[in-house]
Amino acid sequence: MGYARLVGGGLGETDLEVAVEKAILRGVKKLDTYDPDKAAFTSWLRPLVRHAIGDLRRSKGADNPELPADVAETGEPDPELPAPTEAALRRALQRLSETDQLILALRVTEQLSYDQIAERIGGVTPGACRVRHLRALRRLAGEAAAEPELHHYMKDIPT
Amino acid sequence: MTDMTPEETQAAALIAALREEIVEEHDLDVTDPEVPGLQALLRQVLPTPSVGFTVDELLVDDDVVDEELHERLVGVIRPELLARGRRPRYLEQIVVAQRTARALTVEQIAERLDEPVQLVSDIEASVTSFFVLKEEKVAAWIEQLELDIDSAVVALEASLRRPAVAYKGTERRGGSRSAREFSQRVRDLLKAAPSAGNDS
Repeated sequence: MGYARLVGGGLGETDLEVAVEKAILRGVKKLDTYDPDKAAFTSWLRPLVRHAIGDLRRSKGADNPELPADVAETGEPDPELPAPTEAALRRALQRLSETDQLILALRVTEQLSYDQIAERIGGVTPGACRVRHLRALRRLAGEAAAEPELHHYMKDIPT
Repeated sequence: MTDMTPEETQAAALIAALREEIVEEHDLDVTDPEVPGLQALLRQVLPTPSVGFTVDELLVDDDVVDEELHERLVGVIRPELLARGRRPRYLEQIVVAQRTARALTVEQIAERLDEPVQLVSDIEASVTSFFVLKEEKVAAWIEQLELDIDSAVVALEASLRRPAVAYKGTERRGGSRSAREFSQRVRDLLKAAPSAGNDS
């Protein structure tokens, strides 16, 4: 619920509970696809919460409150990657430092705003978090250059 | 002060390292790059277990579920968990069940796959492994029966990893190919097929 509150800004507690309920049910249905070698269980479960919240926002239509400007709208699950592309991205990410991976996970994977990241890390400003994130993105672009499977996706990254 | 687990200690160190690096950054008003391709790509790959655990540490400190919600969640997932226990888990079981439900014969499946009837029959009976077929044929089989892709591929991997006694020792056409590689190839073929999108 804490995570749902974090990413479901503007939704009421009842809506968030419904989203968590849907996410957990979907998680149980898809449990066979969870691979403990690839990620922690909660990391696997969180996208389901985001997608459930995205569905709820869409279903509420005009009643949907404005999202903070720098928070990406949660929507349909992204199409699954072909295995070679996923493997290439994993290789590129693993060549980054863990701090790079962490800021990318918070900003891109978890879709937190810079305000939220700064608040969670503590003792830092949102602006500095933004700069640190951009630096991690650039380093990822550098590593991705060595992976032909990723060139198509990386063309829009600033270098 | 409570003792921290090794994972918690590692996560705390990683958070501290990131904090230190961020503190050293200038607080600039830079514009976030518009990178939809990259964002979609990154969202598909979950963090490594250690980074994921650190994200947990940062995000779920106030993750409290009250008793009422807890009861409701348990009530919602219990029927699904019970149903899981009764569900076939190997692809052999699933293809037989689905073929029967669609009133198809082994001969019809064999004809559509362009494989011998005996071979299809042996695979269904767990006498022969799916490994003897090429990935394209296994994908076509799953597609013919319009199975849910994710569930079918998981069931395929389970079949390949835990072969029935009947065909233990059967020589694999694929040599050293692992169950996971084989299954992933089948999954990629299915996802790339024009009829993909039958996931439930």
